[in-house]
Amino acid sequence: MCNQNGSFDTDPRVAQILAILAKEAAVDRTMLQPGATIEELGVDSLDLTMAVFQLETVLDITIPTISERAGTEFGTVGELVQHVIAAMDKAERARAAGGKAEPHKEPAAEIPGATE
Amino acid sequence: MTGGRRVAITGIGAITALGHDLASLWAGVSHGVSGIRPIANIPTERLIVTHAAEVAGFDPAAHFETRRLPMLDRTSQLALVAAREAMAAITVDRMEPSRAGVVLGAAIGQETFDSSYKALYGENAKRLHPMTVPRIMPNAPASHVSMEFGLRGPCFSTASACASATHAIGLAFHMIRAGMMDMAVTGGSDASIVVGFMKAWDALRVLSPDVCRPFSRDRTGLVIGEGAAILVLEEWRHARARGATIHAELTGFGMSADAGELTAPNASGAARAMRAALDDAGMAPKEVDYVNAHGTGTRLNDKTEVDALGQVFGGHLDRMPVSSTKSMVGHCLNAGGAVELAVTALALHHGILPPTIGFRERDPECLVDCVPNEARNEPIRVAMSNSFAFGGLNAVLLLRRAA
Repeated sequence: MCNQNGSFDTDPRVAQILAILAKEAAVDRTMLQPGATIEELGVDSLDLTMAVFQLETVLDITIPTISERAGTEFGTVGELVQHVIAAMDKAERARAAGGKAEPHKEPAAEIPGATE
Repeated sequence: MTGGRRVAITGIGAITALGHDLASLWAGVSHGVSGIRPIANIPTERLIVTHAAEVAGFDPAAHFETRRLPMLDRTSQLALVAAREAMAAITVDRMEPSRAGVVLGAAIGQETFDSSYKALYGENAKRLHPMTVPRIMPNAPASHVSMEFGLRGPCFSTASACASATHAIGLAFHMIRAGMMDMAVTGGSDASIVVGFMKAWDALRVLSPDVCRPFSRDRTGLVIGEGAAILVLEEWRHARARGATIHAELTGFGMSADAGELTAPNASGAARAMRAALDDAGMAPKEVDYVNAHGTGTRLNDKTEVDALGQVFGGHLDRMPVSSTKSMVGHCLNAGGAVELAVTALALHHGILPPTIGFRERDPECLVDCVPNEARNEPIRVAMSNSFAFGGLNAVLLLRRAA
């Protein structure tokens, strides 16, 4: 479907990821270049955590924690996108394999007032 | 050893079942209005008791930005709304921020707990919201207050169940008196009317099915309330120097533990806390003009509290009114002591004693003048506010009319 690294300009999934990221982290979409660091974008850890949660919910994936870098998992936008694409690929493979596929229609644990 | 430092109450804010500000709380309690109603904010099919004193018509979006809201459990929302009212007349940037602190009663984010675990266990949710932990943490209200007003001194929360806010206010008072800070935002908030917690209260068999009638022979138990009351305490000269309105003076704080039973009240433990407060203030029992009781409306609490009052005040109790605000605003748990201290301060200020409503018949086991059903004009000079918590933890505050 798409190469593992998620080519930034051509993979339609990247646009979807960046749109979510831009909205949740309140960053101008045009600033979200592969080499841009999360830090220089001024995205604090709270906003990033919220963005990751939103990506997991909307895309119905689980983004694994990089334990050795917990709290500072993603240095750049490119790293984050790559990580999300990998999670999407994994979810896709699981669904294709059947059996263990995660059900699609599950409520995310929303807190009242938590999203718009 | 107090170094002569006195402590003034210079700001008060409240949000309760009687309304969203202090004025509506006072209007309600001074007219004997009940905030206890059928529960409207949560489903009640699985509850035995379906009455509570809920904060009605509260729209969080009207008070907080969309991006901030996910960080705030209802408990923190109520605390912030009350804190904004209390701080309205205070300019923090005119003081040293590290000399101003926050001490609130600890209150976990019950709404977040309840909705998260319902989603996880009941609806098989795959993930919980990332703000679940910071919304639930019992220091969240205190942290949000410190952040909103830029208060950089001591900030923490006290956990003693239904005495939490009274312990918080007492500690803030002592810390200012001891010179550890010059100003403190203190009090408590509570928003525990959620299905899981109300179901847990059902199991304790102490809830009244409808009305809270403290000291009345036909009393049927307590009614859970929610809300927040926040007080600004300030070193006396500091308050005077900036021309602040002084609502009342805090003069004494006493604490004790029953070291007895987990949930049953204990007269000698309660009496020791009252005596400790009097000693702290250097006052004699006969100087106290009014007591705002813990007065939950359970058979055992009210009888035990009157026993304890008798031990401390002796014959003076025959002439001293003792009323329970819980008959009107319910038992606001972690916030209860703060709501009641706010009412006690206004009682001193206005010279009006708030009544105990729902009172129908004198109980030979608790014979006090509970200011039955109607407020009374009575200029008082010194008042006491009692809080006695599960776990046998007692906290008592003494207030004097500002002079």
